[in-house]
Amino acid sequence: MGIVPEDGKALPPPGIVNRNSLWLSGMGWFSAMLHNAMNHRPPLKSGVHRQFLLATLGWFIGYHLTKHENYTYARLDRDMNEYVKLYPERFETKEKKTLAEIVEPFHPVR
Amino acid sequence: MNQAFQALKSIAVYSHSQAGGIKSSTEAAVSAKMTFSRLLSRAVLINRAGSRSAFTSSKTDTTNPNWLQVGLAFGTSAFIWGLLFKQHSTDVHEYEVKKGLQ
Repeated sequence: MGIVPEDGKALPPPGIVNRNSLWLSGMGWFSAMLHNAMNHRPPLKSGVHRQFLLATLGWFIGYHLTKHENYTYARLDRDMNEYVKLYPERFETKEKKTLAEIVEPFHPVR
Repeated sequence: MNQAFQALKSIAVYSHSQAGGIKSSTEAAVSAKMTFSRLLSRAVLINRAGSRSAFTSSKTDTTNPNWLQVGLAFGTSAFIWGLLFKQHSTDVHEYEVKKGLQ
């Protein structure tokens, strides 16, 4: 599709209910209510068709935005892991010593 | 403004002359005067013949909703919801296919 290229098709798609959808549809609804308020109409009760349309548009855009976001993060993760695999010598972990090996033996004085 | 007023004056004279039968020379004098004042007036430089304002003002009628607009809005919303569900099911299907093959 236009949002996600071919290699992104293997990603799990976001659910219909997702964070970006909720937020953007809330924004659309709020902007419809603001439009009502600025034209001296009752904000909640008037122009329900406008509120519904803007909320729908927000939800739709949010879904595609979430898809794009998932793809972007997946791509960044994949590139990072490929780089780590390519140069493992730059990502060596130091040998970890437990505290028991570092600390002097404990002789309680009671 | 001046030009409009002159135009109105000439129209008034013309209609009056048609009604009352004033001598045509008066009428000619008025129109000649108007042409002369057009030369001197700077208002003629603003030519209002090329543009007209289409602005009309009326109070919005809140008791009779614009049903066409309402229908279009709800119809578009329903269409977009349908698009969304279709897209989602397509995505899920594609994902299942890829998962099944790999």
